[in-house]
Amino acid sequence: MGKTLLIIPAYNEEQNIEKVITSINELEINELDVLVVNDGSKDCTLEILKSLKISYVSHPYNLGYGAALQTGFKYALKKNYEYVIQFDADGQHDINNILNIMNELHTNKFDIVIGSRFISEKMYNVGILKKIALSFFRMLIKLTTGNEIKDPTSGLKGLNHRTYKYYSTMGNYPGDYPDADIIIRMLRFKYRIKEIPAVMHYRENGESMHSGLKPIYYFIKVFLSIIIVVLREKFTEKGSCENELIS
Amino acid sequence: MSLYLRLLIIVIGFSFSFFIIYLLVKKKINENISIYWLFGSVLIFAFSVFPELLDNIAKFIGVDYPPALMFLIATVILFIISMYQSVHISSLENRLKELTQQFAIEKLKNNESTKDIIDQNEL
Repeated sequence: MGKTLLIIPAYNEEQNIEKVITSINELEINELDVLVVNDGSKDCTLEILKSLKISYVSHPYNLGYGAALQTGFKYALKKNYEYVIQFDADGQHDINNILNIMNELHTNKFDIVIGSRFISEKMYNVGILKKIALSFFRMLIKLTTGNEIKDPTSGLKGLNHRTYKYYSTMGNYPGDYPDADIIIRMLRFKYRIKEIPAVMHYRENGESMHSGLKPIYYFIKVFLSIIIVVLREKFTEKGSCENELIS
Repeated sequence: MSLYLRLLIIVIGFSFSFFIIYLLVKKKINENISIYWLFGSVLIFAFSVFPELLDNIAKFIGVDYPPALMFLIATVILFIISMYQSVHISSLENRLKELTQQFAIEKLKNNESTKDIIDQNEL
């Protein structure tokens, strides 16, 4: 199995990060390195990372969830990892998903593997607003690409080298919320995406990045990004670097 | 246009140009951006020294009240400048993000290589 980097973006996760890291270390997976990206946390996340003897990069100020992931992709590219897995620091992603994603990336050669809440037997309760947003994004993905993605907002993803290399380039990855828009772009670029069932937990501590009025902004922003993704294709010149990457 | 009004506009245009040049001297604004604002002050001068210019353009386009045309021109120019600045800010934000990310990664690489040297020395 190829060398894999697990990227954990963390913003104000002092209550969860240690538990997540410890449980990943306990798994003792071969060929898996862990990199935490501290995204300018205002709490003690950085101090905890220092004490954990773990690889971490730290943004001097908050850049956003997408930008933190992108920093991880850039690091992975420098170190030439074969695969990366993005994993949330809040304890919502079950660590047993990691092996499943690694297997899927390695054996079936998919470009992107999404850990999905909605194709397992367990039923997950999501709020009514999230339910509406999810169905709307699913419909948009179906409409613009013809594909069915059940969990377009999942933060649990595995990417192969070609995919994360594309994401790591300046301007190719949204700094705040990389969700349905990026899935649509990659599907239209003919990248192979697979959804596998994933076990998720409910957040125990700390504040979600989708709290307060942010969901409304999030919804409008992702919707706008989707329109731009489709429009941009029409304006991108043939033979540009972006098109070369697709082939 | 009354003489007083013309004088007032000339004073405004003059102060405005002076302020832009002051900012340039103090290095608070870049030359390339100041050109747009200087162009704005030249327009103010032009309309105050040649008020018939505004009247004629207004008559030509069919605006009954010439000062209204002036507001329109001012709004359009301000709109263009503010759009240009939004584009500029977005590009700066992207570059700053890129720099910050590179900086964070380099810092980790530095730490790793220092650790390697210490480990080697200990061996």
